[in-house]
Amino acid sequence: MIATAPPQRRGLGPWLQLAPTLLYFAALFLGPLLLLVAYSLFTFRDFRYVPELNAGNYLEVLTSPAFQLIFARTAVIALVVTVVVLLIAYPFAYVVTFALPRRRQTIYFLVLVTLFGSYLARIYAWRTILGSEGVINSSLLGLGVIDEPLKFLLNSPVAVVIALTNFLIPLAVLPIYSAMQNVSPGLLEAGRDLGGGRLQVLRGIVLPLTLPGVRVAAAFTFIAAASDYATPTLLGGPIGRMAGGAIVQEFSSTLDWPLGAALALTLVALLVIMVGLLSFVVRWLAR
Amino acid sequence: MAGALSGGAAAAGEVATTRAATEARHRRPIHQRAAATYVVLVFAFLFSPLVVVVVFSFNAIPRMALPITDVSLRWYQGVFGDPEVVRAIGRSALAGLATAVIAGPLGIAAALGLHGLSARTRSVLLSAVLIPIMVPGLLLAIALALYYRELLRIEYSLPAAAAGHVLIALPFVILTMNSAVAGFRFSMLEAARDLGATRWQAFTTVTLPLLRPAVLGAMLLSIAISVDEFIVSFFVAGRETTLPMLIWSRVVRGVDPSLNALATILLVVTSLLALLASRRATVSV
Repeated sequence: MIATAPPQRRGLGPWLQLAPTLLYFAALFLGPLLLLVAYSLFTFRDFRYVPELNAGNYLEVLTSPAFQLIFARTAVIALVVTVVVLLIAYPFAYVVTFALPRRRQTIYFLVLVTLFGSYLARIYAWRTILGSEGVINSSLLGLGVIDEPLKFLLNSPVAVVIALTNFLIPLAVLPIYSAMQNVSPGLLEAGRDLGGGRLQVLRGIVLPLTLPGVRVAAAFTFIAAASDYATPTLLGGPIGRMAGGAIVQEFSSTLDWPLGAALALTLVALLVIMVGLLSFVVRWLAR
Repeated sequence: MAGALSGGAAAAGEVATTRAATEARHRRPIHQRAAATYVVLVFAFLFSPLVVVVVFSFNAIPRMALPITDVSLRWYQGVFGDPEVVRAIGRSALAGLATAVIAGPLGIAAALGLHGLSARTRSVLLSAVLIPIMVPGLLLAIALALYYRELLRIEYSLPAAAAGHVLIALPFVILTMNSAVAGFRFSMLEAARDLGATRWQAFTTVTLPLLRPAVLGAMLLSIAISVDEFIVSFFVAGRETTLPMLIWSRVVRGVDPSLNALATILLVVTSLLALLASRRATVSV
């Protein structure tokens, strides 16, 4: 018997240790979010926030064609990013786990470094890579491949998808990779010994066992992509505007905070619905 | 005799083939090469923006095109001679340290507390504590901006931003500490207590030294998260501009060659912190 079991006296001790964290979250996380919900029901009149509870802001968000367009675009861009990210991240986690076991540690470090490695610096980098005087265009012009810079690279949804894909891959790799660690290589060999082809083994054994990881990865990726502000603002241009931009505009220039709050909570509703849907689709695909 | 011999030979042959089969199964040179190529390609994509920023930060002329003909440190000299930049770096460092100093102890205590609870309560609380990871940073940022201004009536400032960074870092600290505490031998603590140590003595002489790598890792990670954080600072730091906020305002203003140097500094700092953190502690999702 290894004595790793916790000491048996439970009582109040653990709760006292947890109390500071729980209080901190209650005061600075739950409180602000509840206030946001309250404000989304307020009215903005004569540059003041009037606490008359009504659903007017939500009605405005849901019926305005401009907001509808922004939310539809947000959903589509985030969905494209999620699919591309999963298609790159899943094979990546798979080959790292099963084909390159000796390099596993190094690769894991590199993935962590790219996960925490400077979000704004990378968005800026994409501007300099994709811009009309950027690395790609200047180099292609210099080589004489093109006569005029390719304009569609920057200030378009294409740029937003490329940049978001670039920094969300590590976020998706980690949960899928953790899920793969639970698949024993013996199980794969058994599958092959029983006559299963490589694809059959992947489909019948690996995919079902790693499904929870894929669902977490899909949720992380979609939420991060759909709620990003800096990327669409710096790379998307007017035709790449997403929900984050609309929310920030209400908070910083229009100063209609109740409408901004309603926009933010509508985005949350969109996230919940889409994550549920994605989870369902992933399960259906792996059926 | 001959039968036995041939039988032995057959058995040896069989052993040889199975061994060959196992080796083939474990080596598969072609597939391994394909796998390695794929991993390298993905990393090339992941690192390409970082490489571009670093390479052009040493370019002597303010033009972002290949080939680079002349190398210089002029952008770095410019950046470190700029008081605005130096102040922003100082503020980011301060916010990072404050985040680690607050999130570290809170997270350690919480992980130890979680361990003392029944398995069911623990898993419920653990998922509750992880909710902030799933909440978009933008939502947190506007909620805090509203809360500070309308309810608490406090000025937007660096401490206000750091308080927000703690919310983002804390779940990661708890995750890290939770996996370290799970492997902790509480019998050592009982031994210390049996030998007459007070609770505090047992904590400082046994618990803390044993958990030190994880504690350090979690705190380094907190600094990295805070230093790289943009959206919460953007909303609630007010005029106390941090390094990411400075980069943001200069990118919005237009192309500025010093940005490559600024971005490289941010990049090197966060990557080093993340690397140091990941050597000490594991974050398991």
